[in-house]
Amino acid sequence: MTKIPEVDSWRFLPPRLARLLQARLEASPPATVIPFTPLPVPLSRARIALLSTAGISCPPDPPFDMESERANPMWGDPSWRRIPATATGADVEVNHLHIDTSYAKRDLNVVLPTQRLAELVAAGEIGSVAPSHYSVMGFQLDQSQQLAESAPAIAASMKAEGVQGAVLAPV
Amino acid sequence: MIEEAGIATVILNMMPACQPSVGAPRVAAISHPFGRPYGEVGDAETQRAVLRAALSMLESAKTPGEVVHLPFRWPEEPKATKWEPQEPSPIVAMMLQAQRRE
Repeated sequence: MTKIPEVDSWRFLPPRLARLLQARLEASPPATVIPFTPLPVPLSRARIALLSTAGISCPPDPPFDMESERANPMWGDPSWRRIPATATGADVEVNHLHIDTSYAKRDLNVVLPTQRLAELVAAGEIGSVAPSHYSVMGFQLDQSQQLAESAPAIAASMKAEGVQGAVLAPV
Repeated sequence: MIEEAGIATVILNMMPACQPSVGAPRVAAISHPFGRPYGEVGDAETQRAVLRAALSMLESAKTPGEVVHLPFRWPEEPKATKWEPQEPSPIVAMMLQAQRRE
């Protein structure tokens, strides 16, 4: 059996940016508490929601605020958006100034695989799709507002919609 | 916070080096470029396999903070992989400007 190599976190980063982020990481205190909730039912019966940090919004909801970030480069929009589980790429906007968003605009599934999840449900591998998926915008030097407001609001919405498991994908 | 609401979560993470400071409940580490965690545009097969692998950790992980390194390989070399925005982000533009002034 071949051993699976560990993922190299720095593989796709230019060396200067990698050093900058490495230094920031080394200066961060280690996490003291790791929360853990077991999945209450097997996956084949579980209700699942997805979350992406790609800055996805679904009109008529307003898009994530890029103009304020252009005016203040240290700031990132800390709000959150609900994405109906039936949404496809044609229904959404993607705004994030730190990645090339053209891929997500061409195929939403590269950041929020709504169609792939629906297929797994149709195949009986997963119990059901929650009515809503979620997005935030991942550039947050100061995470306090996102943690104080968006995270509890998303958690409450998931709870209200009977979500049992969630896949969170930073971009 | 989502876990505290009684929902099991897994993070599909391209930077598992962050895990010691983040302390996520479950991490499915993947060597994909920023902006395309689930795979390439139009590659439904890989997207489905990545999603399935991440989801399976919701069932398989037994201890808080478990990290599983997924076996997916990005088809392009890092130098040939474009993920950065067309124009530098505001903070990068600001740093480049500051460097030029030095």
